[in-house]
Amino acid sequence: MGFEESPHRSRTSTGAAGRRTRRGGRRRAIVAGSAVAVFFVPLAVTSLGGSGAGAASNNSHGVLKYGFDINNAFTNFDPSTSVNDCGYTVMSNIYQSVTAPGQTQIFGGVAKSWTVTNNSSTVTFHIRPNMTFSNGEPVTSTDVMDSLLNTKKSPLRSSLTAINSMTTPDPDTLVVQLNRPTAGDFLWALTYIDGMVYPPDSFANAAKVPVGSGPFTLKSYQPGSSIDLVKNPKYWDSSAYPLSGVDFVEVTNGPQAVSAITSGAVDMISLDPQQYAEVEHYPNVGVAISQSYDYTLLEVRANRAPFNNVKVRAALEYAVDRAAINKVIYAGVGRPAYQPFPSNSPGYNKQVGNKYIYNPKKAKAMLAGAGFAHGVPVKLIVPSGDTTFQRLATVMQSEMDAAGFKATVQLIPGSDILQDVYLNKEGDAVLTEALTNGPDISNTFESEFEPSGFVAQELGTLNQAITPDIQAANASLSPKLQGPLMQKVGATVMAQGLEVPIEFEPSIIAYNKTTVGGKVVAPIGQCRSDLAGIYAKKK
Amino acid sequence: MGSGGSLISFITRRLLITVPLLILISFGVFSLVLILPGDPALTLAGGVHSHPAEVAKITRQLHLNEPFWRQYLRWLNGVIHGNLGNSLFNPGQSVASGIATRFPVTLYLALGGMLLSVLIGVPAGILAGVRNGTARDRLVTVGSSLGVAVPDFWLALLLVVLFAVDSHILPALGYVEWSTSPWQWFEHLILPWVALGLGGSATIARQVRGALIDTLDQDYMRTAVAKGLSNRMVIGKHALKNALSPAVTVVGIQFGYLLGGTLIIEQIFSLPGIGSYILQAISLKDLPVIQGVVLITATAFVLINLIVDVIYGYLNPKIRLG
Repeated sequence: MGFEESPHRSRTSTGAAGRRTRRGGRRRAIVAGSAVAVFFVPLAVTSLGGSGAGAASNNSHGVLKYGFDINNAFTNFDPSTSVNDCGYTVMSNIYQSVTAPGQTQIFGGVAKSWTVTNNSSTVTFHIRPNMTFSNGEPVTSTDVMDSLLNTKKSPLRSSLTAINSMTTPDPDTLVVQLNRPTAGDFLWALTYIDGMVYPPDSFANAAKVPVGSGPFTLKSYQPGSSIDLVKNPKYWDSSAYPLSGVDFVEVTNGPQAVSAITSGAVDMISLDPQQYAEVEHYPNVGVAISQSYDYTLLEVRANRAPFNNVKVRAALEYAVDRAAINKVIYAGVGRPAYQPFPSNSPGYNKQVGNKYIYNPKKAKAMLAGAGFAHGVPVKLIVPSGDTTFQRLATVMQSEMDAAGFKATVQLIPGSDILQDVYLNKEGDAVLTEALTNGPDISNTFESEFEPSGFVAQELGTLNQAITPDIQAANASLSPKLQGPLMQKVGATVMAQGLEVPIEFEPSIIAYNKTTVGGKVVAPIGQCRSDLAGIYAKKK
Repeated sequence: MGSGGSLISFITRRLLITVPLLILISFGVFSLVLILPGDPALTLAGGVHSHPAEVAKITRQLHLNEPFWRQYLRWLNGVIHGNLGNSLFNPGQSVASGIATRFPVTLYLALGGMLLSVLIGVPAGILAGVRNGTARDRLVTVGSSLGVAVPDFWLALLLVVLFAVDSHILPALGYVEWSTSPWQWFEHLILPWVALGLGGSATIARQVRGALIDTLDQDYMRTAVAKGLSNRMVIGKHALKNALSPAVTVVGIQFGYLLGGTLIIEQIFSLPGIGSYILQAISLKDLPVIQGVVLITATAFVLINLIVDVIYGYLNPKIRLG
């Protein structure tokens, strides 16, 4: 297998969990209250002589202020103990992973190249020559091996359990023997936190004092407030990153994200789709949108009546008006998910196409055919604190009602979903999202439908018929291999109602046009930043 | 015994009551946190990829498999020795250091909000109280009603839109350490202080106004006027001292409320205080952090009440005899 240098595009999350609850939605309340304002005007006027909003004025030395929910999306800098996958947004700027993600393929990271042999069970990595850590030490194959072994200690980095053994024939070569033929899956996982490389003498303090070989290094960290990075002059492709630094500043999810970018408090921030409409009319705010493979979906409890009846599940596919949801919930910038893969994916099945378009009459007829002429009650579990999901559930409730599914909504905190839904069997279906994120298009299916999958076990979505195809797809990231296999799997998933895909989520980055230069590209998935080529304009 | 001795005895009695109260609070805090749904061991073991053996191992490491009372005693022993434990999700970070880093932000926020409440509330209450029934009184009454009715989070959003997004006068969010730049520290806290303090000022204004009207209606006040004392003396020396005594209690309660109320304000203004710390801990089920923060906050509340009682006792000697 051959490849070239990374084009420095977005890092991608396979995620240890593979799926997670969305960040909270944001909506700004604008109501005028002149009587109240009387109290504030004098106070505000007194501050006119100060430095004003000030945040942008700090950018004169090429430092980008990036809004990020440090408090809720970041735990620490240590790849072996970090428990929040969204920490990747920051960590990927400090650490270089073994491989680097692209939208349709992966590229070289610490490993300049690799070869896959032994029926996809052996991967030989060739370390990038003359690469150094930010402390000046050279990056060797032993460092890569030790990093993987150290990170493997984390139960959250399950991809690394595929490692059977590793050897380092020379300082530039690492040979990884996998315990199953899943080289493609493994290479993809190494683009993420799982594959971050850091010197062994930094392991003990990696949570606070990270040492990596990425484009930036840590300057200072104020928990819950800011993470300031400075350019790493020793980075192997330093010229690709014109910024002299990046300050990640705390911006809590919610209306604050919109306020932060429109007030100039930050230069760049990731937004939820519903916030797109709130910022698009601001003349100084630019918006970059990418279509991702991530999608929202309903996971259905297939091991309990009535959803253990394939006819009932199949009917549910027709009970969701995905086009309306795109318009109402995703501001028209998402894409209806009529199958698990979007039309630009090798996994897209043309025969399935838009077959599962909203058809309440058909759904009702199918329910009647299954013996449920009077409808089926559904308890929908929705992560609380997530306004996007809550709004989505409300819309779906009425759509499903018209199709014969009497839905009730139960809100459960995102952190309790694992316990309450998967283990305590609460609810009939849970609103969640699949983070496929790029070239490894079979990624989320492993958990959902394979015998070893947690979701498959707990929700009863294990399907032996498609398991061999998913496992075969893990051998390589080649679209030629994965495409036909996933087309087949996607058709089965939809026909049997094993999950209900709803919407492919857009990735949205808002930036301040007066302070940010270069071509801003929204990463293809959530929880990452892509700062290659970005520079701060002088004011 | 002189009045000084009586006050010391009063403070001693209050302190003695505080000790069992804090133990009771510690027990309540520990119990409540343990019955929260969710399992941190499950999260630490890999979430949807966790294996039962790994979950069991971590459960043992965290002593979550032990009886409640043993867990409580272990925790209490740590607390007594000044050890609130370590964060489960940030290896090496002690809860005490986490609180020490963030508590000052919350304290500045609450103190500033309180100061603003008092600076607006007390004069407004006095102005309305001494001119009962006039246009000035009605203006304060209407203003304070609005202040009480408007939720602080809504006010915060409105302030951000008005003063940060639309006019760029003040920062929308963030925090700058005092040591980095006193001016920026002040600048970043103005909107949070206003959002937090305005509701409190309305409550205080109403309290002071009511108490002052009642006091001014007393016979001894008429006597003072009949003696030929000036208005300034009547109100300043005789009326206010009595009228402000109940206001002190309100201020104390308000301060406790503000300490709790910072949670939402910290979220809106992205301030790295205790509120955001505990929210993160709750979402992760980081038990030691939740227990530590709640305990410290409750202790602060108890101490504030103690201070209020002492001040109240000083202002009103009858209380000391109670």
